[in-house]
Amino acid sequence: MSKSKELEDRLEQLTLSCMKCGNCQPVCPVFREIGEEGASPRGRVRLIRGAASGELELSARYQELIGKCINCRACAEECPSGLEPNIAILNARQQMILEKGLPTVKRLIFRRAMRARRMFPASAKLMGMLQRATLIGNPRSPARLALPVMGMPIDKAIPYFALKSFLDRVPAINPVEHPKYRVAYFVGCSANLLYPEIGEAVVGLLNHFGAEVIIPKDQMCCGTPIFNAGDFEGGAYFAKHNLRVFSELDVDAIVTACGSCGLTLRQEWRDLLGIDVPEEFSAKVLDFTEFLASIGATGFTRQDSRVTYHDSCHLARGMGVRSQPRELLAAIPGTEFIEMAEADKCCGGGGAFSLYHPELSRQVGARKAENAAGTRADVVVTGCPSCVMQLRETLARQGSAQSVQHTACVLWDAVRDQNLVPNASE
Amino acid sequence: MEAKLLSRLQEIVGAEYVLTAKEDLICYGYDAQHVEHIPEAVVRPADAEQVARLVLFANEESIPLTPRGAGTGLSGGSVAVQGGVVLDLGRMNRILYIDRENLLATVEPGVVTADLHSAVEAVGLMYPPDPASMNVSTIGGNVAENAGGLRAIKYGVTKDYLMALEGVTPTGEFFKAGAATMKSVSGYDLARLMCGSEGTLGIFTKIVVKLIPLPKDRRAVLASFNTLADASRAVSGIISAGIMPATLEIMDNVTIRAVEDFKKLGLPIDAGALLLLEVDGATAQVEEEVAEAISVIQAHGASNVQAASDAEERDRIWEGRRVSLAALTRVRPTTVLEDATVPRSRLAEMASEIEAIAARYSLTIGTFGHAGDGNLHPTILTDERNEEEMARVQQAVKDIFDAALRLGGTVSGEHGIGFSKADFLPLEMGPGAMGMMRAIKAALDPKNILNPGKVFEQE
Repeated sequence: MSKSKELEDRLEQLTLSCMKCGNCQPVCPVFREIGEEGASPRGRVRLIRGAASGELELSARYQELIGKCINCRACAEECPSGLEPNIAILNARQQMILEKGLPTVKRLIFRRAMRARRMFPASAKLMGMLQRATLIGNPRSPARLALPVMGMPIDKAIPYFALKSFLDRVPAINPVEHPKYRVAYFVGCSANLLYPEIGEAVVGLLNHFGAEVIIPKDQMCCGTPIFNAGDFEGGAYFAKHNLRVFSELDVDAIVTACGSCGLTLRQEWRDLLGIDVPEEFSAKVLDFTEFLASIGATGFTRQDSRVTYHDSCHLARGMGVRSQPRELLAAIPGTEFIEMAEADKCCGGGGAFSLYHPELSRQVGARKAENAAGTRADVVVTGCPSCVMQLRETLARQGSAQSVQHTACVLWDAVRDQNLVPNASE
Repeated sequence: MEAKLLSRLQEIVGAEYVLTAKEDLICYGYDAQHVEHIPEAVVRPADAEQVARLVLFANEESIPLTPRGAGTGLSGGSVAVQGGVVLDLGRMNRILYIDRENLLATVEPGVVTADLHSAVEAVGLMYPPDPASMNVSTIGGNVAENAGGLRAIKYGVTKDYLMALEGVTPTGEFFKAGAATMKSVSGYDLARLMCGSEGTLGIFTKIVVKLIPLPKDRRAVLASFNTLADASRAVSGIISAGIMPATLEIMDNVTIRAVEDFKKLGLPIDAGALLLLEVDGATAQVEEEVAEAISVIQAHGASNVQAASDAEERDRIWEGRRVSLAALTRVRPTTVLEDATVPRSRLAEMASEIEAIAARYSLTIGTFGHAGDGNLHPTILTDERNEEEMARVQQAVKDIFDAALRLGGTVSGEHGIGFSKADFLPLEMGPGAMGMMRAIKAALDPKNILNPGKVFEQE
């Protein structure tokens, strides 16, 4: 059977049992903003079925509607027939790429730049230098005039690339005296290139609670942004590479601090990309809060603060991690935990989604920012670097004084002073 | 559609709110029944003024206009069976006012039913109609279809809560119907006429509904029976004992197995049927009615009966009912869901008829539904890609309607006639009533602009 025929059959299977009840609509953050049937999961499922049967061409409008999905998985959670519209949509994007080819820019990034293990961090560093030189993070920088040319709003919040990536900062083995556990840390691109402080906090925490942390230096992107764009083959390259690198390690757990990375390692390599991932590998993949909760991490230093928590879609609906970060945060003495309304609704970030659809991303984010503001918390905590980026932008746009922190950074702050010997992070 | 006409539509609602791409039109070609008709354009007006201008335009150009809420209907009411323009009222979705002194809510038609529920429950009030699609469906659509729901046995259906409305006539004039007073006998009851008119007599732009105080307590009971007929007789027993549960639902063995396969709730898969009921009201009254209901159920030969001990158990019981249709849809690719309704005393006979029809046409039919109000949902599990089987399905549907009518029932309890039941309506109504309805339609909509092809069978 040809590849495209096989895919068409899969697309039909993924959409066949839709009974068009519409239960996916009220939970879809994109439909809630746009209100058009075609921008709802039910509509997309119908369109995908049309494309699979040959009723529809893969037109520009088709691509636009299929593109306007953040992959937040809310529809899949709600679907009474057990469909996963988000998975159908990713497969539909794959169909577009198989038929139309990968656009040149994406081809260069996914197939070349991101595979260059030395050049990729180096170009991020170069980018970071350029960003600092042009002061592009400053709202008044003339360099911002370049943003609309790249399809981004001129007032977009721009996080700086780190001048030294996380993987260049830390040793491959981060030992502790009398280790109780041995864990590997899968860093992910955001923590590696944009927010190395998240990675440092994760290592600090794991060390603090008695885990020796192995950080393979040849790990790469998990593949999420690549298969999210429909390039399954490109995504599989990274999956296979990382699987090889991490399978060799003799560790108790493979820890992530990003919902998307964690979900991808644990589930999507196998279920979405069809890669032969051993069950014992998947079972080892844990969000760092799952790991900390499982070892009964406690004994935090007092932090007087009011915090609220935003569930990353892939952490909550993907990995099922909801209670652990909340319980860990609430265990910090002096920290008041306030639940926000619609805590597990998408923030609109979605990784590259916010670059492809900046306006829509902002509209979705505005609602999240309102809910966060409603808690009057000092700090909005979340477990995914992509959400950190989005929340910082949307909260700032609403003039909010709330700060946004990754769960790891908040927890690390609450044990950091107990570590007399300066950690690898210093 | 011609460019000249499209540009007129764009002038009225703004270019952004006129959809014409094939992809968009396909998405407005369906509802929750399985026959599709693709419109020529979709417009998404912002207010009553735009709605009126669109209706005037449609009259001038003789273009069919099909109003649509959320497209969750089960009889094709919002599907543009004769093409033309679909009028999506989803943008008009504000809750305008909750009047706690008069127990009224004023809303725009695009308000999602469940959103109205949450808004009024937040102030201790209740809007009782609860169609199963309420998380998605709109109040406008509910009024147009006179939607029912689980609580109909005690609280009635949408028409019992519709007080007044504003709208646009099929010829483009504004009108008001009903009154915001508890009593009003002024003129013909146009609000009642509009309720259940399926978008054929007017488009609603503002709706006033009645609210009631939220009951303080509620309790669920689950009972299993050896046969569907036994369970149906227990329903009659409960009603004639003067017990008035808020909901009284039934599930047959096919449904129980599908649900258990789906959710593993611990339902008894060998039971011929389950009854699920919930009593609400003041706590003491709830206790009393639960005890009475249990003794009536036992007297009717239930093999097991239990009251939910806590909210968690209650939710588990209702989860089973809530996912019934979904569970059935997992069994086969296509489901054909009917809503023929009989007098409550004839429920057992109707249940047996459905079982006989399933056997006659070698079809799998899962039956669940609102036993308390005589409204069963026989659900035929099939595959729309299999023409031969679909032909048997059509026969079975016809036999179900015939059986319901023979038992003194109605072809549609709550889903409406739309186009999917239009051929069967005359069997129930007879020529006299059909003639009156056609005369009303012709008088109000001489050019047959609003939702043509619905309610009346096509020549």
